[in-house]
Amino acid sequence: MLIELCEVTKVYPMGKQGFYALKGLSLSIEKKEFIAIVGPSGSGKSTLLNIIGCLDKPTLGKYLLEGEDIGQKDDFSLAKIRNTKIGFVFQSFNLLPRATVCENVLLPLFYSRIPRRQRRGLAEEILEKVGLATKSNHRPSELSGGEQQRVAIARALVNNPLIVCADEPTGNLDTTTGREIMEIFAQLNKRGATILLITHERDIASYASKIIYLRDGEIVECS
Amino acid sequence: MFIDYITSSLNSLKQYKLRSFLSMLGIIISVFSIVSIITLGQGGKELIVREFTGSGTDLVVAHNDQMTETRMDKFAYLTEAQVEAMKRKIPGVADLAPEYLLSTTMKVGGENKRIPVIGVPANWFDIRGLDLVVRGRRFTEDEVRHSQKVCIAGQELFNSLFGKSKALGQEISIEGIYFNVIGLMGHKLKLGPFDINNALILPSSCMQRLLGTQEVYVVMFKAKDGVHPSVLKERIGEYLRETFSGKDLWAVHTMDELIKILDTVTNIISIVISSIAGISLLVGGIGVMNIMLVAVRERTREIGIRKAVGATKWDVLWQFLIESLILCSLGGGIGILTGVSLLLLIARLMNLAIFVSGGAIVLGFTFSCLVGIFSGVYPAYVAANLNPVEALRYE
Repeated sequence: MLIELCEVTKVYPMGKQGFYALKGLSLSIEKKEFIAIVGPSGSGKSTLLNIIGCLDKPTLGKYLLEGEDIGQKDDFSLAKIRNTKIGFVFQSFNLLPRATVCENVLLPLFYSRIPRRQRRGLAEEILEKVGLATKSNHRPSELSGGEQQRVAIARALVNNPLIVCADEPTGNLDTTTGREIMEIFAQLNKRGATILLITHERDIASYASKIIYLRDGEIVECS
Repeated sequence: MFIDYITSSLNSLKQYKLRSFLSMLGIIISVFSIVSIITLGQGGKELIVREFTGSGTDLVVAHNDQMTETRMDKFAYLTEAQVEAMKRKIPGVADLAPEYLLSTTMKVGGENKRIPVIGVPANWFDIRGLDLVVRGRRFTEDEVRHSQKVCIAGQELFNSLFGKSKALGQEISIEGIYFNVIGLMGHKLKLGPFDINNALILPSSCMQRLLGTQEVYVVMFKAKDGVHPSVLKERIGEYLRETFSGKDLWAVHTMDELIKILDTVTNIISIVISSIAGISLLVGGIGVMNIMLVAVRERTREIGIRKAVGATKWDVLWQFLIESLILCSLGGGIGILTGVSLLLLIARLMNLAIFVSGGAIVLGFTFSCLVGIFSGVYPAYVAANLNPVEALRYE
């Protein structure tokens, strides 16, 4: 089992009671699964993804990643896990605007202490795969939304992660471009990547092998 | 790894050129002032000492000091031969010259005035080192040897005797003997008790004739290079005590007292301006801290992204700390460069010998680096401890 969530609860401090974003949620994910998380806003989708992506820790309950208890890890171990095992793709791309495409892609390599000389080669290799080899020295602002998202995907993949966490990756893109991006995810999944994806759109969710419906911090349906 | 931090910091500083420069400006100005003050303080002190004492600090004066003795024949004096011997017998004496003193009365502008007359050998001018003669020339050793009746007159005295426009070569009568004026002297300072502008200087040989004696009561010494004047002073004192059979009949002085006063004055000035520079460095540091805090706030999202792809707290901390350090050390470097080049320019324009002190440069640079660390720590700490989820959501 790659991911195991056991009675995971996440409470955000708000008012006297606090806000329960996740309420005792349990879930297991196998390697190579392609999972779509669907639900209305405020249902806890992003919280779930952040916990799985080790950006956040559960308030209660257990999260096991490859059998390791993430709740017990300190900040440094979490940073290392994010660096080597997780790749993030965001709705708003979240590229460094001042850095070039290539510099954006090699950012995770920077933090995995990979020697300078190797970094560029690895980044360009991955950019080739997402079809942006020619734009390596452009700034993100010079690219279209679809291209920017492909840069973000390249950045997520450059360290060969176990899991790709994508938070509404097509949310800022038109339908056609959105489909192109989803094709990339489908390809990745075929090559063996585990993908977790948040979406609003049913046809985007249809790329997934499993769909999890969330409402008010609980799983209401799993298909 | 650190090369990466440095390049990344340089990139972000380049991105905000004007802002980086403005925040650097405080550091630049304070380091600039520190370097200039220390350099000017040291160089200036040297300069003032030279200006005040002539040959500088290596002058030692020995003179008869029998304040309570009233009978002339009881005064302890040295003969010319004894004076000459001192040059050989006291180690550390580069040169020496006796001074013969006489006070004469002269009619100046209708009234009788007492005019000091100093008789000296030709090498006296070099020992004193003062650029005394402002017009004409000094007398030569030959003129001294042959008792030529030449003299150097104080400028003021000469002007009131003959008028400003009169050429050199006028004759002045001293005790009934006429002396040819070959040079004029002027100096802002009093040479001991004399106002040089109203004094006369004669060859020592002529003076001995005027006085009718060769008894020496005042001797000027110049210390050898590397011999501290106070050491020489001790040796001269010892020698004189022996000469006068163990009695302290002569006193020996160095320019120490004058130098001490100058030291105090320049030190006070240095301290005052240095503290102002220190305060401006502090203010500059606060400016840098402010800019760094703004940068952290502005780049919250960037910090979130970096953390999401695997940056640890330390990675983020170093990034911002190094950025602040670069900002300040760059400011320090520019401050040093401008300070040094301005000083060199002043030195060239005013024809002064200014030595840029290495200590000042090291001090200025060290301080700016310290300020960089001091003002970077808190913003870097804030950045390092941002929650990645919140940072990513930051608009």
